[in-house]
Amino acid sequence: MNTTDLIYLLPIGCSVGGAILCLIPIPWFERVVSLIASIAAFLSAIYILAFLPDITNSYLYVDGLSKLVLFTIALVNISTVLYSLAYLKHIKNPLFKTRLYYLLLNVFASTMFFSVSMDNIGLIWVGIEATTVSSALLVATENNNATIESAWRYVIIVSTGLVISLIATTFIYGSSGTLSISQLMVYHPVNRVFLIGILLAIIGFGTKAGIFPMHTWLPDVHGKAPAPVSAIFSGVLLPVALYAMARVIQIYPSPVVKSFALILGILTVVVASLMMTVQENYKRMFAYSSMENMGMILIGFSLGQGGLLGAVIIIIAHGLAKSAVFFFTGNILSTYNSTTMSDVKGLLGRLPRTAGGLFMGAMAVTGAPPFPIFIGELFIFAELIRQYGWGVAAFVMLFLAIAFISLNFKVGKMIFTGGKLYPKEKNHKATWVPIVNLSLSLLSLFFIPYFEQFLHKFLIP
Amino acid sequence: MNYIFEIIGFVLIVLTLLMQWEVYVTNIILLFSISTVFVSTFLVFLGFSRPEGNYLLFVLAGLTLTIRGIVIPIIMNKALHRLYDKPWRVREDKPMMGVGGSILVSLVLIVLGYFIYQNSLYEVLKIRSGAVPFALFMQASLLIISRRHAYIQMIGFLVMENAVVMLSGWVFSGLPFVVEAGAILDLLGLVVVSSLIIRVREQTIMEEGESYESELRG
Amino acid sequence: MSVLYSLLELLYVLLLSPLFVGILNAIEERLESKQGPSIFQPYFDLIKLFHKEVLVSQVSSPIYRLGPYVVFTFYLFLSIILPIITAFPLAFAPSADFIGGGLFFGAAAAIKKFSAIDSRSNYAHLGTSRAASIGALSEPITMLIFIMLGVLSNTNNPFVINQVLRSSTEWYFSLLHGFVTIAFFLVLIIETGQLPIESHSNAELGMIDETIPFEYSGPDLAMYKWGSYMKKFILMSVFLNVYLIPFGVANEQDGIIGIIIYMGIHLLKLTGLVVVFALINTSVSKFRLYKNFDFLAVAFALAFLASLAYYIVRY
Repeated sequence: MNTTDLIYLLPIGCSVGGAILCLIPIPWFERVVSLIASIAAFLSAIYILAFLPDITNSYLYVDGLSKLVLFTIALVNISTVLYSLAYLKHIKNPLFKTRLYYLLLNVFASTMFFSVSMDNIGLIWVGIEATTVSSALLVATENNNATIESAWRYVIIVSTGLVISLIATTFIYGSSGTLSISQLMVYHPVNRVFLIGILLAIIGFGTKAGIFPMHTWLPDVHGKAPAPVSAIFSGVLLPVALYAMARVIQIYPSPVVKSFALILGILTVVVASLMMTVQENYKRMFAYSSMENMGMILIGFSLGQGGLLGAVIIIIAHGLAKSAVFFFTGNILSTYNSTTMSDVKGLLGRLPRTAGGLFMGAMAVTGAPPFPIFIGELFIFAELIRQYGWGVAAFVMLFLAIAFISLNFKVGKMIFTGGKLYPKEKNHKATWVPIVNLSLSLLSLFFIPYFEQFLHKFLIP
Repeated sequence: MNYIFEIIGFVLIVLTLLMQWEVYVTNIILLFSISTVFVSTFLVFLGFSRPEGNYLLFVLAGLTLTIRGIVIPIIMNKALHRLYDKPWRVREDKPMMGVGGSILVSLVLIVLGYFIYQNSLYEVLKIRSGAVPFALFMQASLLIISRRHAYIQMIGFLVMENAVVMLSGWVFSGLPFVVEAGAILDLLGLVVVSSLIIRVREQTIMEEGESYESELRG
Repeated sequence: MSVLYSLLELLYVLLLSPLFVGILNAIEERLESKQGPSIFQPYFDLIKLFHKEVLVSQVSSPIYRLGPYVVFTFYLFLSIILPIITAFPLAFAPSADFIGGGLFFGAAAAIKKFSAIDSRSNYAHLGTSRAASIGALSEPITMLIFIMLGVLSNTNNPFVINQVLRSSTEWYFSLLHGFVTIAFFLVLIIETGQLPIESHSNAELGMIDETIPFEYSGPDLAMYKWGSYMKKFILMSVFLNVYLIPFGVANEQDGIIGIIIYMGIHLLKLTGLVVVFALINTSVSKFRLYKNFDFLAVAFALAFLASLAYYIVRY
């Protein structure tokens, strides 16, 4: 490994440095440090994205896909820090000091950067498991019964699921003798052990990404975590796990693996859209919406080529839009003190800017036309129709439509019913953060050709 | 070597059965500690059996023994001591199924693990006793499912990790040292974090009664 | 000659079985720093009971009187077909194999329960129902153990099993044998009524076997007690001779001298086992009645693991 290659580790270094500096006990210092660290990480991510070539050595594997995910992580990380600055005072009974919150947030970001730039499936596993360690306490920032219970469920379900992917790693290493993604992409054995390893890895990393059979922790955590944590979870943590799944699929794109991932993705979409219709808690409803999007991304990854491009578009656009939506729910929660939808009435009169943003955000995450998620879904459906025919595509579309209708109907009810029930209130200080996020999500529409350039090597049939 | 692995594997299975039998949390932690000692013994034997004298395996055995076998049980015991007046009396009081029933289910799962292994991987790997880690994995997941006490669920998870060490060491040629060491460090962090969460959880349960889970449903 | 050996074995079991109950009680008391009874106390009890009169409940049928004698005969019969002092089959050994022996034990237990029920005493009914529910679960475990030994030796003959185990170190140190031995030890604790299962007090909550002869008196009770002493003696001998320490049991060519020498060794082995029981009895507390079933489940699990170990490892 050359010393010049260390520049790819810059985002990790920024976050780790920020985390260490957070330990210095000066008032407000940790907030300033976190902000600077996240901006530095973002700048280095942009630098890597724009100027540095793809790299493959025995430790690092950074190509277009990793760069785009890295960029999304850095972007959502900045907005999370910015929103946290304003939001944390709304937490009434914090479990720990603000200093520890920022420290964990920085460590969490660095583990995500780590996971997407490693060449070794085992190290990716270590990174994803480390995200669990660093984020478990973030979930429990608000100290009450249900939050702690959800944090515990998160720890035990996710780590148990990840043990499955550790077993898968063992299988892969045992049958091929290497864990390096770059080497496995060039050559891999074709036998039953390797195949089982790949399938187990998809199930195991799927736990962390909220994919169907082991998704149960996801709504609990998103329903109970503070808004910035929900935002970063939904916006980038789930895609990081999906990144690992995408790599695994790329290593061994045999029909069995691809159709297995496709089936899991379709089941996730089905379950998430059906569960969305019966939700009474708006944060849980958006959690199921994230799950539905993750299902679509997995379908895209399983299809490859155009599907892969669609999936990456969804990752970026959804990361920005969904984090914005969760920031808006933070505003709503701190004003209404309830996560139940029937308690939230007259949003348009009370918090007009939040209401407008939430309406746009809900449209964006369900894939309404001008937003890039719609474009991404178009790419995926085009590929789905090409490979599996109209029937499957129509089936998935049906459930997307269910999700679209139920989510937008419920959000609309929150915003437009109640009329002038409450007087207009002062806007939250950080309302501009989600609005910027949402605009960036829309603007990413214009960068789709660039995404295509980055993913060029995966798109050639 | 075959013989040693079989004996250690079955001792681990029996120790997990005993965990299933036991209700007192401190005893379960002790049983886990003992089983980790067996796992690290296995790693030492594995290191001797490799012709090239793989010294990293000895380092790994030492790491496993100190962190999984000594540090993690001490952390959990400390957390128990802070939380309760009489930590040795802490027990599983509302298990999902009775102890006898869970032992029988555990047996069924062992057989299931055996059949799954026999019908899927045996033809490729040709290692007959490779079913043992799978059986151990099944048992550990039962330990997580059948108990409600958070510490016991944590122990179930740790037993699962032990099963992975046995699997990678015996059935396959072992994972690279970096990955194993990273996994052990992750485990340590996970135990520290979750013992904090568990402590808060048990405190709130003691103060306010069982958490109302209706918020976390659907 | 074989018949004479059988007679010797019969007398050996008959005369020495009360001694080990006495030794067990004495060691337990000594471990608790008490003076304790003489090790010959069970003999004195038996003699005393034989001098007392028999009282029979008006409502009972002849089964009640016959029960203890039939059971006693069963155990006498078992003592001449199982390997207790010889490693070769004696004159009556071909009449039943290991499973047959197990069935005789079961039959004796069943007859005991019938006659106890016939006494129409509430306490006897209580003990019978408890003993029956535990026995119903421990019998299959015993059967499983015997079957696994059959797998090991390809026969059901205890003498052949002994032969296989002491000639082949591979079998002796196999996992199968280890699990079977531990499982049989747990069953032995259940069958001989040692501590985690049953305490020898008259506390109503935990009594199992103690309540069954509540209505018996005089020579009937003496026969009943003697029978249960013999049962413990035979089971412990089988455990030692076939499972745990199959070595040194007298062969045919050793002749009468060898058999007499082995009788001494056998007494030493039994004393060792009794010491182990005494240690368990003084250090473990009794389970609640319902936890006994968990204990049974563990014993079953071990016996089952023996079969699994055989199939996974397949020697």
